[in-house]
Amino acid sequence: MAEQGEPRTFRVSIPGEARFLKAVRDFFKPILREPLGEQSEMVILALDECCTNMLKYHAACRAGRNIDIEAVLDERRVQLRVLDFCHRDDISKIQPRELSDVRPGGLGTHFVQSIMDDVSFEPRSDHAGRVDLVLEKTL
Amino acid sequence: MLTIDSQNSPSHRTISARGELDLETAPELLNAIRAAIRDAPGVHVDLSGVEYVDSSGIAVLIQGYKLARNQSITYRLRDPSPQVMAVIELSQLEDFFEFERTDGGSS
Repeated sequence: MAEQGEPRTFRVSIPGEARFLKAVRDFFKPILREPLGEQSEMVILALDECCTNMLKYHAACRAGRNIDIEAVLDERRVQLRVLDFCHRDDISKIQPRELSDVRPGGLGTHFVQSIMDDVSFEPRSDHAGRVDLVLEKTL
Repeated sequence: MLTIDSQNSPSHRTISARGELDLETAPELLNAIRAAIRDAPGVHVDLSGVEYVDSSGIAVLIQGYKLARNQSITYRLRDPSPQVMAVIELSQLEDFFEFERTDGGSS
């Protein structure tokens, strides 16, 4: 059992298919509810949007591979890490659209940036050119 | 999982969605909205039973609005649940859609 103050880590891995997105939401719902309260619903939305983004835009290079997510909770923050999110060359393509330009698509990135306190990409040491997407919410 | 029911009245078809509206299920709602726009004089989308919506679901609601506008028929969102309304507000679309509240009035 984790000692008080020690970070707690949770991991889930799902097949890269839309029908498993609900499984990610259901897995993290009770985990994030405790530190974040009602805010947890929006943080789960942000995480869901990241997984959706992977499925919609990075599926071709990930065919047959799982989506792996790690959550680290400590006294100060909730950190969600979507492992091997994309290639570093694709980061510049991930942009929110202007909300005044009402059209389908492009909202997911806006949601993530609005909901989370910090969004960043971290290079993977085991996979040249690939990055993890790291979302943080301060408590 | 998403469940969709339809009910016709002389002035419109009400499409009632229940469950979770995401990348997997949003196309089902879009198909129902497309059929209603083709066959009915107006479309009301009842969102009172939608427990979760993401950007894919919001995109379908926008598509429905634009398809209805192109056909010059009414298109309203009825009784969005608190979660749906929170995401509509996050999208800054609360003044874009026309809403109907069964506890009184439309906006």
